[in-house]
Amino acid sequence: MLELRYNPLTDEWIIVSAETQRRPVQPSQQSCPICVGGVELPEEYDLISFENRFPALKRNPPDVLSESDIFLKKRSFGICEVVVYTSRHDVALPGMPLRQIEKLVEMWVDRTVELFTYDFVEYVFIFENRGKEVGASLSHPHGQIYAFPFLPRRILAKVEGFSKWRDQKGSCPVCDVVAEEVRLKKRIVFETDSFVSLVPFYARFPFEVHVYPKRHVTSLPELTTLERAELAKHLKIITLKYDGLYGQEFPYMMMFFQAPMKRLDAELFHLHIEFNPPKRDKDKIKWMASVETGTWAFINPMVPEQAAEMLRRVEVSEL
Amino acid sequence: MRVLKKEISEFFQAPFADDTISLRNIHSKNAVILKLKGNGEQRFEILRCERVSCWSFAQRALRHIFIEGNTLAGFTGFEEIQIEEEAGHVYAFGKPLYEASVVIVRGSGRLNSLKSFYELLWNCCGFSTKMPRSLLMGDSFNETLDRRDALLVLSSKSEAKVKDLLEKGVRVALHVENERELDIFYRSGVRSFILSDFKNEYRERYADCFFILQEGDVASAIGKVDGLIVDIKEFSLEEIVLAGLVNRLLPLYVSAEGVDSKLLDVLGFGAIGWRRCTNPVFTRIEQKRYGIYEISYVSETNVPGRVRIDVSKDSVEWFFEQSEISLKKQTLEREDGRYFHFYREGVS
Ligand SMILES: [Zn+2]
Ligand SMILES: [Zn+2]
Repeated sequence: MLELRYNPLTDEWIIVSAETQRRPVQPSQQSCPICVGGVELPEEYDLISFENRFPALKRNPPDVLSESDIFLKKRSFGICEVVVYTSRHDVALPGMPLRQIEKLVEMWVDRTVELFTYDFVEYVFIFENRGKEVGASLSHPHGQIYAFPFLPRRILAKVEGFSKWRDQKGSCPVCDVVAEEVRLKKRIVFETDSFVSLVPFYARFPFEVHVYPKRHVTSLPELTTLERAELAKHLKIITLKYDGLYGQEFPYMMMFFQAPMKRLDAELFHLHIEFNPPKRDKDKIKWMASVETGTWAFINPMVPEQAAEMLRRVEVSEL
Repeated sequence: MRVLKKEISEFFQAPFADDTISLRNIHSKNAVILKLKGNGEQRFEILRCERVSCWSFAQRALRHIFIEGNTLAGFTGFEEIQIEEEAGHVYAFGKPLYEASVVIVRGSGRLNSLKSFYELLWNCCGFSTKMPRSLLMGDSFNETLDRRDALLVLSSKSEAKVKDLLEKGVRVALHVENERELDIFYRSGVRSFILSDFKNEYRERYADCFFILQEGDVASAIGKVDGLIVDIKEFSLEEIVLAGLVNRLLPLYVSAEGVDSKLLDVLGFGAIGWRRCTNPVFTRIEQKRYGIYEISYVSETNVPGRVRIDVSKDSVEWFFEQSEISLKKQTLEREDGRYFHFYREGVS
């Protein structure tokens, strides 16, 4: 079954995709489906983005009929892609050569542009789940892209946040935060000419890191050549620092928040990347439990300034 | 400037009601939206302003916007609009359709006010924007390239040809002269039409169709049709910049002859008889100095660039940034219909 169902209690669409139940679980390296010669990718490649075999959203979804005015349904239009960062099975973002990450950024740019050309696409969401703690089912370095036919609830909350700030202060909250953080320095983990990586004042997870472009850009395609290269560097440094923190592979969710380009108020949006790692200590996990899932309220057991200090102290070898 | 025969400032004071024209206003800090329900019969004065201090778009397509000082008033949803000049004043008269709106924006700068105006129209009408698609004439069709992105405008209305293309999955668009023709081709499966006379009841009767109006003004076409053909040749650069903004709300199509095609690329217009860059172009429009606008965009090959338009001198300056990394993309379709996009270094 593949369809969208409407929840009037929260004014949101739920994607029902019974097919995802058949996803592979932790295959051994011998059978990696996305290595060269694997079941998905028999041919040689460098980077690739391909449509998921078990997509939650489809270009040509089956027809649906709403059962009544109460139980509303829609067709599951959309695209779910698997983004393979490299043909090497045994590296991850922190271990990849910088040049490869730069190519990855270029590929994300192209995917963003192309996916937004589909009439039914309202939002393009790029993300990576790393580690079994956050449900990654393959260890080969890869991420995913969901091209949604609607604006997901938390994206809408961000759009509203940007708009409220503009109404009240006449500026962009990310631009304002960046200016203030750069002045204070106490939550900054890594800074270059055009980007800053920091543990935000409002972090929800213990080692949450946000990557903000200093310039007001709404989306990846707007970044200049230099900025794209700097972004690649930030992604490498942050993930290196994560791995160095406890000397182990650090699980995380990496999420790109770009403007919903088809909306007129898209220009209010400031591109940013969030790393949400679930670890709170070497072997303790902060789970999304009742409070977080049910209310969207977060209790952060770590002082953000202290987390920033810890991450700043992790030495990473020269690039 | 006076709107509905009242001073603008009156609308910004406490909630406002008027029995005669059933008026509803929504206050925000800098804007008021007046919603008028048509009473069917009378035309009345929508607004009046002083000719010398008032600035308005010269061309028909964009003219229902008037700016005086830091105040903008624009309207939509009226019919039988007439603009008259008398004794140093400009008057706009019209008759409201079922739901007509007058939007008043107070703010700084023409372009910002214009942006707010279109944002408000969009917010209060509640329709979502559609990406402009290229319109291509029959002979410039490239089967592999254009199948997904473009609407193919057929010059001949041969039913056999229409059928053949529809079977191949091509999005066909047709010029139709009247409702009878519209109905015939609707039955044979065509879902995109270019017409010179659009009736609101088409929306219900042909709910799944894409309608492009041959000629008309932007303010009235917004929220009604899915696209509009405009004559951009007569626009000033400022109007082109504005049209670029409007284009997000209502896809505008132009015939590209005689217009700088690169500029159209940047502004993301659809074009007739000419291949627009089929990827969307993310524009940011900033007023750098008075009269100078800077537009940032991404070209078809993902190269970011900027263009600076100096309205006072009519000059256009282009800045391209060539990426050091250039990726070559190759898309394969697997047997199960899935797309695989391969990227490797190299020039495409
Ligand atoms: Zn592998
Ligand atoms: Zn900003």
